[in-house]
Amino acid sequence: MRLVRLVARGTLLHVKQMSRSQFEIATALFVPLVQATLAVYLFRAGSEPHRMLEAAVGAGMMAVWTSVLFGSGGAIQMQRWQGTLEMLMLSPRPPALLIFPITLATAVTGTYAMVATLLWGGLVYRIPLDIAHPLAFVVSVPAAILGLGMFGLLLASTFVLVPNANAVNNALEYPVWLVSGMLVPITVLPGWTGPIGAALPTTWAARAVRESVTGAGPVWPSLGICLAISAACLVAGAAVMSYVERRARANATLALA
Amino acid sequence: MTAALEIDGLTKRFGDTLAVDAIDLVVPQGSFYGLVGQNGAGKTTTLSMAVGLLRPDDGHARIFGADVWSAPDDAKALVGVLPDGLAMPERLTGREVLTYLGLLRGLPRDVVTARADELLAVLELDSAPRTLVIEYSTGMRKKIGLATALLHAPRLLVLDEPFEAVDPVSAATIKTILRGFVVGGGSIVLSSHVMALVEQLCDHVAVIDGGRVAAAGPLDEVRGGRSLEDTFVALVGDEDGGVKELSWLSR
Repeated sequence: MRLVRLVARGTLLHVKQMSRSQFEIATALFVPLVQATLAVYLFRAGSEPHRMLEAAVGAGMMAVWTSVLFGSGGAIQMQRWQGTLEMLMLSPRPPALLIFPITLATAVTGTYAMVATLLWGGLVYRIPLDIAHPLAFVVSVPAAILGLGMFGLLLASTFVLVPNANAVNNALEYPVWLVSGMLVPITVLPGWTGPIGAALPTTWAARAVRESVTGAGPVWPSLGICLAISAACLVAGAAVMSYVERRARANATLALA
Repeated sequence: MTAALEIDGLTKRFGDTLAVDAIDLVVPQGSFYGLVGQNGAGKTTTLSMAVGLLRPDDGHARIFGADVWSAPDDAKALVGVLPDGLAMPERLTGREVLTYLGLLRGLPRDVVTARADELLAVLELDSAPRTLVIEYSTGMRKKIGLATALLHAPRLLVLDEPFEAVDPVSAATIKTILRGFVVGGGSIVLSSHVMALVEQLCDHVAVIDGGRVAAAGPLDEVRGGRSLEDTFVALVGDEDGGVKELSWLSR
């Protein structure tokens, strides 16, 4: 229970810290407008106006993934740049427990973009918020956020080992949008992308949220698979994080100076 | 009596550079211990190893008998650290920073609240409750850094350049807090290259040069009737390095 409280309060404080950056908030509010616009016109062009809400939610999930990818992938490096990694590592906690609230916070702040997408969709394009399973929607979105936050820990711990991690971040944004079915339906993709998508929690998170919106399938199996893969990522991320911490303490890379 | 900090043969090498060369130091309980040396002498590296931020290549560090590397949780509970620099989570208020770090230290919420109230008041930071750290002055940043080091009631404080770039008024407040901590039974290790400051505050001193201890002991014993600055210069190098003046500026 104390661990849950630690993660929850830690996440809340990191969300506050991230939410006070005007640049981050402006980006979270206005980038979805572009994405929603693209999605709406694509579906209108395809004569599928009934799928516009689905497109808006998909655009929101894209924004969550972007936030997790860049926020979590660069979490440790960001703490080093801010000079606060040493401060965190002085506390008597496993390193994964110090970084997980940060990666979870990046997923939470990603939801600002999802909310913005739905608002823009309603205000600008008159997309009705006609959700098939509202209860499943309000459960699946936080669960998907939790899942992506757990996945974020694996990104945080592995990306810090990669030289030019920023290049890796950039290279992963669009492919994951695609193979996870956020940008276009998975059915239109080549068959070989299927196993890749199936191994990613992003695919199941997006699917669960989409199913709750459209009522096209049972939400809970997708959500369960998402959380199971994410939990495995969390465990793997924690193990890698311990290695990263040992290496950083030996090589004097906790601080920039 | 167990030493507050015992450093035994600490060694650290970065590539071909031997940054710290088998340093031994004993910081007695209740002492205000100054660690002086030139830039690059190895002070920060030594302190980083002593508090568990940097793994030594060889040697041990014990805080009140708890080995920093084999019993890190015990050691971390006994030590508060103010690292060099002014880094803090920028977009949190001082109280939020203290709440966060108190949480990481496993302190109950009511204890964190009570201690944060007291620390903010004593360090004169309570007049800006909604001010984010990013808007803090240098003195305020050092003060909130000191508050984070004191929050979990450590018995040993390790401070790396705590007065660097701090205005005299803020420095006076910090000095009062530190003296009170020692009077109350706490022990402090303070790293600085400002000799006058060390003479003013410390009762013990170690001079670090080239990753080794050039001299260590009670302040009066080390300086031997001279100023600490004269002693330091005599220990670590020539007074003027042979440079007398700049020719193009001479008349």
